[in-house]
Amino acid sequence: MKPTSSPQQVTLGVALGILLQAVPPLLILWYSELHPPTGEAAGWAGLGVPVFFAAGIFSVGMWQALTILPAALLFLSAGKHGVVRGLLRVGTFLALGNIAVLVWLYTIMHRVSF
Amino acid sequence: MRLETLFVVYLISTAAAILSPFALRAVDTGWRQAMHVNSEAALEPAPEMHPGWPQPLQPIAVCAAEATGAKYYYDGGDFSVGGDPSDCRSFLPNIKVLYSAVGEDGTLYMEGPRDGENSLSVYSRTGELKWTVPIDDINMPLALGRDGTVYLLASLRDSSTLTAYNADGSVRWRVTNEAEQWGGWVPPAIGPDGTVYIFSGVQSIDDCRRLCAAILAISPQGQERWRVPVLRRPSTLAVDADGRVLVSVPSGNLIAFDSQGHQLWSFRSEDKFGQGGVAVAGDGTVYFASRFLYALDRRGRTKWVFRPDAAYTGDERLEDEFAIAEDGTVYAFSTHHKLFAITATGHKKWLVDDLPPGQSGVELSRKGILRTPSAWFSVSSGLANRGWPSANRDGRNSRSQEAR
Repeated sequence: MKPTSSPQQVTLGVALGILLQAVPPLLILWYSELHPPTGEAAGWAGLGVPVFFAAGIFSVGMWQALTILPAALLFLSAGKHGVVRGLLRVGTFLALGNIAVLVWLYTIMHRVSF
Repeated sequence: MRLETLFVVYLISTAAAILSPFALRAVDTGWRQAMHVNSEAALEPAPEMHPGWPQPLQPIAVCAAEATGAKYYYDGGDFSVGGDPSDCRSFLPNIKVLYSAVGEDGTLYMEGPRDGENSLSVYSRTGELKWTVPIDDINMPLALGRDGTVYLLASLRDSSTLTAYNADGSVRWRVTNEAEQWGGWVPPAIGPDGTVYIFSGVQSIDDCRRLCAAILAISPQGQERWRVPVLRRPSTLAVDADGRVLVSVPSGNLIAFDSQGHQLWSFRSEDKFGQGGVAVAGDGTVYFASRFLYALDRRGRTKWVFRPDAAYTGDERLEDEFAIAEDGTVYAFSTHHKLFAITATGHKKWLVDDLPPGQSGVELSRKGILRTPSAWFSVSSGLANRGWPSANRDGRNSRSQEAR
């Protein structure tokens, strides 16, 4: 199969990369719907959902590896190099953005605690 | 960019994102470990520790009136008076003591519920009731003038009233300020000239439109001498031997005013959360416990800072209340349940880090009994006679600075 690449494919890859970021939280929500916690765990679960999403926002640059990398490998094997480029750009942006957010948070925490 | 290069950049970025929390943690740990703390070895071993309360009961810190032959004992709200430790459990009847002070002649001033009613009760040094008056609320220690005048500040939500009681229990005057009181309580302090310094919310003051927090100077005759605004409710008021008013304003601010209300200097500590406690040694050194212990000279300049071992790595802080001994040693408790003895030059004299479980706090009697809620020690020097060496100034809890 001859590899192909075009601006449209890159755009598609970027859009796909962004959309894929919704997959991990949706999977976890779906799992929690299927296995609702009972008893004391139910209360903690109620508290845990917003914490989970907050943690997700600050670690999306790490989570993206779970979706971007498989998708990129899939499209690479299919010869859609443009889509792969789009996906990798989204993944790189998210990873670098994640580092920036963590450094910023660390700076704030450091200023507060020192 | 070639696809292979893009892949490599992506993988490196992702790896960096995954590793960055660990790297930041390592950097933070290294930074904290590199900060200067007083981790040096103690200069001498700690004195023998006696777990629990002194047995038989030793006189409590309010024992300056020992000169008159009376000793005072305190046990969980019960108060007793006597010259013989064997009768120290003949407690004063019907009163649970929350705050106490002792006059120069041995007269006892007690705040606490008496027969179910909040009261200020005054006893002779032999334990006979002299007079008692009902009071609205008991929320802070009184201050005791050298002429026997009792100053009691009552802060409600929307007003504060400073009442001066004569030595016979009659009311000499009252000063009331109607305004939001900012919550919490700050006990009054008396300067060497008899001026009473209080914190109160007030109606109006310079640079203040609605909520006004102020330090007020009230003459012994009940006239307001001056008022100065402060940012928020202070945690401590103290007066040094020169009449300078020291105000600890959370978090981490110490402000010095002269006896005319002019600001002399202000100091900012590294503390961002705590209340802050202040005391003054006999040589005029101002000690400010605000996360660490700061020793300041008369102009508010830092002489030295004492930081406990785990100040940065374990967020160990020094408690706000501490005591200064006559030999200059400062006794302070840390949030890691350690008791520090710190020399007047800022070195670790000794350390006790295996105290029995209990609350924090230190009391030092004039005879050199150093007491914590869970153990006591006999130390070389008693509470300092000059300055403002402990939270309530002296062993009598007078909150009154002596005239030079």
